[in-house]
Amino acid sequence: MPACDPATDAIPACSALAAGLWRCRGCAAVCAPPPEARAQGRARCPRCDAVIHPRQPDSVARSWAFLLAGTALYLPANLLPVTTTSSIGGRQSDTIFSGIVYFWKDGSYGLAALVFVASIVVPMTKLLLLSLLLISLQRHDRRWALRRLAAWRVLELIGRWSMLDIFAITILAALVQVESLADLRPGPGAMAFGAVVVLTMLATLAFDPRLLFDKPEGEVVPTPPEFTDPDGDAP
Amino acid sequence: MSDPEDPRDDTPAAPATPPAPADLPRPVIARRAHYSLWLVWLVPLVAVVIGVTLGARSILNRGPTITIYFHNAEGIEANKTHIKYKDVDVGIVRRVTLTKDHREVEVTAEMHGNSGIESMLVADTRFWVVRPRIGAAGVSGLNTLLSGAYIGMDAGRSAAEKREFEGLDVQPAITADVPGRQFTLISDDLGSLDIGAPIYLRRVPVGQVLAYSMLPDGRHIRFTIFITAPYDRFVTTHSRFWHASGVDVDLGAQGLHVQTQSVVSVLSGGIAFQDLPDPDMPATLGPPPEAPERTQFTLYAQMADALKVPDSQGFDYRLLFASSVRGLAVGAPVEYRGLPIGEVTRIAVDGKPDEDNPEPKIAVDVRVYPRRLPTINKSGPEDMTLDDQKKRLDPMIKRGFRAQLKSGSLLTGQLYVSLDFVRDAPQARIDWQTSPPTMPTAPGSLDSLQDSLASLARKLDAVPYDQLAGDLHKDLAGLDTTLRHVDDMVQHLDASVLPEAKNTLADARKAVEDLRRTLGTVDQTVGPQATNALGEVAKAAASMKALADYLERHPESLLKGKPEDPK
Repeated sequence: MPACDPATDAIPACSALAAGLWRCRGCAAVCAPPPEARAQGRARCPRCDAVIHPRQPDSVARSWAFLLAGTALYLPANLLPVTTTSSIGGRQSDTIFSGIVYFWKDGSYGLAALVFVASIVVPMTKLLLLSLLLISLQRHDRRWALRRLAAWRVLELIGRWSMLDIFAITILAALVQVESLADLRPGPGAMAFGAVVVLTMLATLAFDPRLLFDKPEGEVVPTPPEFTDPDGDAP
Repeated sequence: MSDPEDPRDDTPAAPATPPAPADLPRPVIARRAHYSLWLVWLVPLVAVVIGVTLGARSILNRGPTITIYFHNAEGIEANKTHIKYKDVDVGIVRRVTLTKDHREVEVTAEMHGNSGIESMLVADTRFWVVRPRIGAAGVSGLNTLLSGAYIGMDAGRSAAEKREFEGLDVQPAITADVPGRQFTLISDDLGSLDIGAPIYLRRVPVGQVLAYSMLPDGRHIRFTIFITAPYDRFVTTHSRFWHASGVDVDLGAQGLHVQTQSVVSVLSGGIAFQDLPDPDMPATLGPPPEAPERTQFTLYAQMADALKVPDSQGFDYRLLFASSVRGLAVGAPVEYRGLPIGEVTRIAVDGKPDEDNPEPKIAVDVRVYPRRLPTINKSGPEDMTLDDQKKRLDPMIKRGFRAQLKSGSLLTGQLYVSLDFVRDAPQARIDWQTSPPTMPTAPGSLDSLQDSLASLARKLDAVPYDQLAGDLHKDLAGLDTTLRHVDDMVQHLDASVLPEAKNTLADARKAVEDLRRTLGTVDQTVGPQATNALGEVAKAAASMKALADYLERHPESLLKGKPEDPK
């Protein structure tokens, strides 16, 4: 939250961007770009030489692109078999959901719930939440900005856990190779599912949460009353 | 690595006295990136393409859904049981439910779409459950012991597509891709045949019984058989099929007849077939035409029945017999001097007994096939009408041509009808007015046998039994005297010979006693002396032994002599 005192500051806006400051995403160095850099919207960090931008370039568009790609693969990921098991008893293909049903019927309710949350709830939540965030950004809706920020953090945190299934399949496929007796192979669904997870992570990465507070015209977000107290911020 | 930039990080950058922008480090100017936003949109585009491809492939792979009805679902499991054609996976069972009337099991299966399966799901495609099976023909489906049952499929050749099938209970013996032809046989009796029973052509197995079913009339069995190529071309319009099941024991008028095919057919039954040469068609015309697929043939009970010359034209006659027809059966042969020319078709009583007909005769209807009689000159009795028969038979009857019942075998008592000229037969004629014409009969061999026995009895009656008995009595009296003489002789022997024998025996006993006494004396005199002599010999032996021992210990004594006893 920008905490600046417009009364004591010469800068009319209180965000760093409005103050003409950029921040490096790699090493968190704050620097003041020269006008030509500002005109270009792109420079290199004086400390770590990473490319810096005032905001993530085309954040919304990129995020949308990855998100849509993830959504497109979400259906095949859930409908196609993720594993194909062949044993003496014959060949059997399992989708994520049929695996969950199998665990549930087998009495392993905990395992079924875990797989259900990690493989179905989490990716779905990610897709839905990110879509909501992006839509709200595009509609310049700034209500609940803080909560939406919290939501975005949750997204990033849980994102990696949906790889659980892929890990399980990778390990199993490596372990269960008893040639003619038993054989487990990842199916086309596993590829799609992995792609969904990676794409949603990329979408979260492309999303710049600072946009949640920016006004399109570069206006300052109206500061909440509790941050207007100048004494509270004085060192 | 995508550390979210906390907006509150900005707080130290914007304190009450923010540093002037000039104090902050200046970033290096980067060259303008040749970056266009549309490249990012390639990602979802590619994703959509991949997603659509995957989805489309899975949908395209999902071939048609079919329904198979089985009598029971033993071994069939949803999502586990596969459908295989030539051991290639072509589908998987998705659902196993009961039909609405709970009579059958409805198995819904999803076929794989990439094998052109639609053209195989046609009207005559068959499905069956492959389980381990042990039969006369061998053991099959052993692999299903471990892998569980699967549904076998045999693609039909029909053009009509179908999606609902009636599953077979047993695996078909021949699949549609085996070259060959199917034929239909009609029989009265199943015999010992079963599905898979072999079919032989000159004892070469050339086919199998595919199926059999009872015809709706309940009297005939219809077999579907399959003859594999290249033997199927030997099935011609003139082929005759017969049961080659097991051991064929035929006890008929022609005696005991045993016939077998191969050992397998003895155990499990079989069918044999062969071409019947057509008497009307000379062999120079070449083989008879091949029978088209699904031609219907009659399956005869025996080879002999099957290979009978076809009886194109038969004439019925009625024979009235006053004697017993015990041993005569429908189908019994009618012979002319040993040549079979017809058969008995019916045996019945001729009318009801009443005043006009106090002793009803037995009416035996026979059918005579004149063409069965091979004639030397080729101008045989062709296309004879009843008038021709009349012209031909009337003079023969005049010369004594009669029907007789004759015994075919004394062992079994089977009768047959013999047509022959009977000497001294009373005049008779064929009654052409009745239907069928009544042919005159003559007493058969059994009847004449009875007649002979009667005449023999009459002759026996004429024998003078009383006189014979008197003579016999006299003879017996003579015999009695003779026996008495013999008795006297034996008594005489008793009186003269026995005392002599007694004396002889007493002498013999005395001689034996003398001998025993002599032996006792010998024992008493020789025994003690012999004992003494043996004792001396033993002593001498002991002395020799002592000497030998001494010499062994002191060999020098031989030279030096025995040393002085140091006493």
